[in-house]
Amino acid sequence: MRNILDRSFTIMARACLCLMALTLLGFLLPIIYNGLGAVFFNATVEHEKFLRENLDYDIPQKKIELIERADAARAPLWKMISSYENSHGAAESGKLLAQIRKDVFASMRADKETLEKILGLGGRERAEKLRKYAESAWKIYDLEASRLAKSEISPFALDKAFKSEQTSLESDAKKFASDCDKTMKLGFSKRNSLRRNICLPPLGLMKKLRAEISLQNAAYFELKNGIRELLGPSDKTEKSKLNLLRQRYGQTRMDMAKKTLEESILHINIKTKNSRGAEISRRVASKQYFKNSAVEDMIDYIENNFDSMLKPHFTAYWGFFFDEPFDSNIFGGIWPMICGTFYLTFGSMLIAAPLGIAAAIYFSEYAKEGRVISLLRMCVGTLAGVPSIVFGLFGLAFLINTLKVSESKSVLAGAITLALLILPTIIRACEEALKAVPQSYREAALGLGAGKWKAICTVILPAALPSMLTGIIISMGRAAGETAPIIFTAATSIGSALAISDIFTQPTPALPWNIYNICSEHEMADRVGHVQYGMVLTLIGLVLALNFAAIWMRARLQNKVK
Amino acid sequence: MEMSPNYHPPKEFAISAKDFSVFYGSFHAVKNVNMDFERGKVTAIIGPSGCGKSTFLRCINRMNDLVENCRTEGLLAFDGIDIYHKRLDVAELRRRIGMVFQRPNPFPKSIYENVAYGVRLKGVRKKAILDEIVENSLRRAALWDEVKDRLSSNALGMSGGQQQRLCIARALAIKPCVLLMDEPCSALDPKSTARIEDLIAELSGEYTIAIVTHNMQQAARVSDNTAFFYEGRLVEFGTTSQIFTNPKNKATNDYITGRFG
Repeated sequence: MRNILDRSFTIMARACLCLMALTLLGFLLPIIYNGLGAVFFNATVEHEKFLRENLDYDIPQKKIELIERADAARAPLWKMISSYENSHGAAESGKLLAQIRKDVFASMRADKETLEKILGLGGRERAEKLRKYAESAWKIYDLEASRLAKSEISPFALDKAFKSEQTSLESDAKKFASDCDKTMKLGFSKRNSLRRNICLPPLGLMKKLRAEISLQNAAYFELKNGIRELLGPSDKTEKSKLNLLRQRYGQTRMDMAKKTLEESILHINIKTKNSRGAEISRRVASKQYFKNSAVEDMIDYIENNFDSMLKPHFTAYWGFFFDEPFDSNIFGGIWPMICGTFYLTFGSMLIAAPLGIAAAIYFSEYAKEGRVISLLRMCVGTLAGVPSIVFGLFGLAFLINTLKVSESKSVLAGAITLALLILPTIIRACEEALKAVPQSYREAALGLGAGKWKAICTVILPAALPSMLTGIIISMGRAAGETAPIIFTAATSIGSALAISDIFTQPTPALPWNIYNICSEHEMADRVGHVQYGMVLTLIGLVLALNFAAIWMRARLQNKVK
Repeated sequence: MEMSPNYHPPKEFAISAKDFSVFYGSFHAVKNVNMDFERGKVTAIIGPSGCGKSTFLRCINRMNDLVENCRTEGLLAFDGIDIYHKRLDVAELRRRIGMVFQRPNPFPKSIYENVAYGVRLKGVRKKAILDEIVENSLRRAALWDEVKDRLSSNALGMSGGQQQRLCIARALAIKPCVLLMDEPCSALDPKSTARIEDLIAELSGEYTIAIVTHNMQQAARVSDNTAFFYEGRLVEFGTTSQIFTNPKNKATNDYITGRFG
């Protein structure tokens, strides 16, 4: 019976361990895989372009040729776009319309008597007659415009032409009315009526035609934005006009490029009206939508020449760890965050370790058990249980607002706050370490005429050092990963790596805060997935490295002692 | 160090106790002990477990200060100086009254550093002087020949007997007047015990030695005088030959003949 119990217990324990290991792997492996993706990935030429132009990287000749070949492959696409937007027929048609407009106005000027007769009429009848007169006068113009709308000319170019015609019609009507006013002394209301009604038919038509092509144009714009997102702007002049880096470059990573192709080019959002007349957004396959137009050719070209326009190649971007970030981490690396985490961690350790060791020495060597000491111990215990966000608020309220250790957030304030957070852990670890030193060492040292302090310095501390260091380093790991205390005291989401001299006055980006920030507050969170995972992996790596350092140091020091 | 104002023991006694009592809280551990340790002689303290002999020994260099709520009454004098005087420099006292503990307790340092530790505390910095003192002390403790080639290796790597002799060498290095030994051989095998006993015989004459032991034969072998403690009281005190051959007290007789304890 006992045997069975023993065996089942062993099996259960092993199963639990396996489960834990599996969970850990299941948790770590995706992070490691995705995090490494920030450094090793399939890059497009845009990646090299960015590095060359913003970080002064020396790009090897081979890559430069790659960029040139990609640009050459893109040239036909840019040409298609420009010819679509500036259809030749459009300019000519615009001219034709303008000519007809001028002719109509000229004939109306020549035919003054009719107009005078109509304007002589009163009230409602005048407006009626005027409208009819205008309708007949603009008949040719309207016919021509309607014909254009049905022609091969791209809606984009047509819209431009119609828009300019609209403004010209309005200004010409105004001019015509004031001219008539001068010769015929019309007065305010008649002049106004003339101005309003004389171009009413063509203006109405323009409005109607533009409304018809506007939906199609909006769809085209949507598609063009997608192309921009994928490839960046077409030339330097266009590039210099753009403010944001993300608009100046296309996709730097092949996986993101494929996603862009699928989501922003092959499929687009269009606006249509539903049965009740309300405007709704709908997702359509763009090839279907632009069937049998020049735009379809563009989409085909992009699809067929996708690889030659982007030239995917595998790359190892070590700069991810050592470069500054650009445009909210969409480009560049995470060096300032690593630096900030380093400053905060070591800063807090430098503050907390001496205090913690001193307190531990007091507790374990000097303090006589009594009410005051148990109260102090309780305080340390309570401090360990205080939620970290409270430490953050304390840092803001006390260190920054009351003590004014710095103007606003600073690394110093953050380091002090973190130091307070890890202090109880350090005190406890050090106290345990000191208590573990055999009493016989104390007796031996004191027996040889050492004072208490001398005995502590020469025998007890050296003997306790390995365990104390372990405790301190593990606390450092905790400080490195804490987010809440630095939100109010030290962290900014954007900033460059600080110089040592700035840590007393300047806030810094730091890994834990920026991980939160980039995952939940970032405006394009889905475009920086690799950075999110890269940061997480870096932070985990840092904490693990600290823990391994603790283990290694402990082993080394203990070997030395033995 | 200040002289005790009202007690001047004869010069032939290194340590004198007069109506000396020790309390742990309310427990009266050592009761009104009056005894003198002869200068240059070995004094053994025997008695059953818990009779207060170790406590008494540890009071001589104030090692019991480490124990909380330990309190003393009466007088304990070293060379006419009140050991429990308020303004006494305890570190200085312990330098004059060395101690060897029940279990060997070398520091986790090299053999050399262990011996040099107390000397360094006295402010000696010169390597040549330190070397000489270390060698002399190790020779006195009959350890030099065994360890002279590995002075820089860790002391914790030595055998128990060697460690105990190292502790004696360490105590000797600071040139004390008195050496207190609290069951120095209880953790050692017979061979190591014999070596320590030889060492004690060698050191007597030069040092005043007080040794607490459970081993009656040992007390008989190494000591000049013997004190028998029982239930916190000093029952009998006299020369070793007298105590072991002709005890005056019945309890002493019972103890040394092995009827109890």
